[in-house]
Amino acid sequence: MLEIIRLILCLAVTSIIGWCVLSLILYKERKPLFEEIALSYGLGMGVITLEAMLFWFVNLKPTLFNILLPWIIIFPIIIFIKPKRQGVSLSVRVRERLHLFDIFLLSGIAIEVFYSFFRALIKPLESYDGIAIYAVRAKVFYEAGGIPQDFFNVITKLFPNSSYPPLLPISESWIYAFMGNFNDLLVKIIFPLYFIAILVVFYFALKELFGRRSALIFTFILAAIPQFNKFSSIGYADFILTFYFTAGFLYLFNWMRTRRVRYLILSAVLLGLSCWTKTEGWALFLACAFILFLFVSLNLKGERKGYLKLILFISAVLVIGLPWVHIVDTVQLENEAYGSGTFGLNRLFTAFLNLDRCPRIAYEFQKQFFGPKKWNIIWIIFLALFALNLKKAFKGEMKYITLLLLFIIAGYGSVYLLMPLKESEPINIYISTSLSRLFIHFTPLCVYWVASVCKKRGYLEI
Amino acid sequence: MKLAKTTLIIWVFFWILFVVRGLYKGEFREYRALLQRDAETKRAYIVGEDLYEFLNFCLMNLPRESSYQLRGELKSIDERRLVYYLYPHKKSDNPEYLLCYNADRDIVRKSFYKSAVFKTGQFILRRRAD
Repeated sequence: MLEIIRLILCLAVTSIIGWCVLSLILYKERKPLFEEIALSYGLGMGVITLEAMLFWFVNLKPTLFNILLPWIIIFPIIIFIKPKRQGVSLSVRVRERLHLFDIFLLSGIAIEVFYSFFRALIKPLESYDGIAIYAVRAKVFYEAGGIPQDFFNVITKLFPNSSYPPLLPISESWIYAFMGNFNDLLVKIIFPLYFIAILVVFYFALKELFGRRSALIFTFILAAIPQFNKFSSIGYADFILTFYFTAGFLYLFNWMRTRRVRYLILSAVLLGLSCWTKTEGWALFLACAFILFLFVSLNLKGERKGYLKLILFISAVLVIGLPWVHIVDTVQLENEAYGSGTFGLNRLFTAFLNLDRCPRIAYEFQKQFFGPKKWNIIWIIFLALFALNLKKAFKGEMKYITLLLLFIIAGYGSVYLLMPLKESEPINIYISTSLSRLFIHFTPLCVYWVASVCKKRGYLEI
Repeated sequence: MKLAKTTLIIWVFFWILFVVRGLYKGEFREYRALLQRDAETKRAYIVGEDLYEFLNFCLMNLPRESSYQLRGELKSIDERRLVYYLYPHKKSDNPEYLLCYNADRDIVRKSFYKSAVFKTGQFILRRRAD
C-alpha cells in the first residue's frame, strides 16, 4: 500500500514539474485542464530525465532533493503569476449534454484505456527490447543511485543498442527511486499514462478544429487500433516517442494556424524530447523542420521573421537533443543494426547501392497497410481517401499534413536501404521485427490526416 | 454520410472481432493464470518455471558482482532476461563463472571446475585459480 501511495506521489510530482515547464512556455495562457495535465505528465518525465543527465555532466548526485529544488522555488512563483482557471457556466454545460452515440464512443475509449492499464500492470517488464535495452539500464541507474560516471564508456556497452537515448531507463529508475523499491510491475504504469496523454492531447486538438463529436470519433478510432493499444503496455520506448511526436506536430500545426510563438516553442520542446527518447525522433523532427521551412517559404512569403522562427524552432530542439549526440559520437556508442557512431554522409550514399531491397521493403509495407489484425482498417481508409482526394490532399493547409506523413513513410522505408547487412543476410528479418513498431510513431498523424480530409469532404456530420 | 456511417460500423465490427479473437486465442488463459499469482510467481510464469528456478540458484551461489557467461540451450529472449535479472552480476568475455543451463557435460573446460550443481544439465562452473 505504501508503495502505491509513493507511486501516486511520484506521478503527481512529475506532473507538477511538467506543469511548471508548460506554464513557463505558455505563460499566462490556459489550456483545458485535462490537456494541461496530459502535457504536464509528458513534459515532467522528459525534464526530470534531462535533469538527471545534467547532474551526470556536472558530476552531482541526482538525489530527490537536488532534482526537486529548482521546482520548489519556481512552482510558487508560477502559482502567483498564472491566471485562475475560469469555470464553465451552467448554460454551456446543458448545451454540451452527451448523446447516446457520444456515450458509446466515450465507453469505447474508456474500455481501451482500462485494457491498456490491465495489460501493463498484470505482468512485470518482460518484452524483448523492454528488458534488454531499457529495463536493465534502469536497474543500473537505480542500484547506483543515479547515472554512474563510467556508465557511457563502460557499463552501457555490456547491453545492446547503447546509442539509444536514455529517457526511458532514467524515467523507470526515477519511479523506482521514488517508490524506494525495485518494483518492475508498478513501473509499467508509465506506459498506459502516456496512452491516456496521447488520447487527451489528440482529442483537444481535434475538438478545437472539428467539434466535440468528430474529436470523439477519431480519438476512439485511434484508441481502438489494436497495435496502438498493445504498444501502450509492453515497455517499449516507441510509444513514448509517439506521444512526444504527436503532441509536437499538433502544436506545430496549431502555430501554423494561430501564429502564437509559444505554440512553436512548445512544439520544439516536445520534438526535442522525441529526439531524447529514440533515434527515430531525429527523423521525425527533420520532417517537421522541413514542413516548417515550406510553410515559412510559401505562407509567410519568405518573411525574415518567419525564418528567424524556423531558426528558433531548430535551435530549441538541438539544445535538447545534441548533448546525447555528442556522447554517442565521443564514446562511439552502438546501434546493433547500424554499428557505432552517428550517421555520416557516406552512410547516406550507400542507400543507392541497395535499391534491390525496394521490392522487399514495399512488400512489407503493404503487409502493414492491409493488415487489419494490427491496424484495423485505418490504413485502408487512408489509402482510399488519399486516392479519392489526391488534389485536395496537396492544397491549402492539407498539403503540410500530407507531406509530413509522406516524408515520414518514405524516410522510414529508406532507413532499410541504409542498413548494413552481412553477406546473403535477408533484409526482411529486420523489417518484419521492426516495421510495425515504426508505424506506431506516425499512426496518430495518419488518423489526424483522415480526420482533416473527412472534415473537408463533409463526412463528419454523423 | 452513409459511407462514413458504414465505415464506422465496419470499424467497430473489426474492433470487437479482434479483441474477442485475441482473448479466445490465448490472452484470456494467460490473464487468468497471471491474476492468480503474486509478483514473484508472475516472474516465474513469464520467464518459465524451470529457468526461473535456475536463475534463483545462480543468484544464491554467485558472489556479489561476479562476471559470468551463459552456456547451453537458451533462446535469445531467455538470455536477455537472465542478463536483466542477474545484474549487478555482469556478462563478460573473460568470465569468472559459466552458468550452464540444459548444457552437455562436454561443456566443462580444463580451466573451469563445477562449483555448484542444481540438477542434471544445470550447473555453475568456476574458473580455476592460476
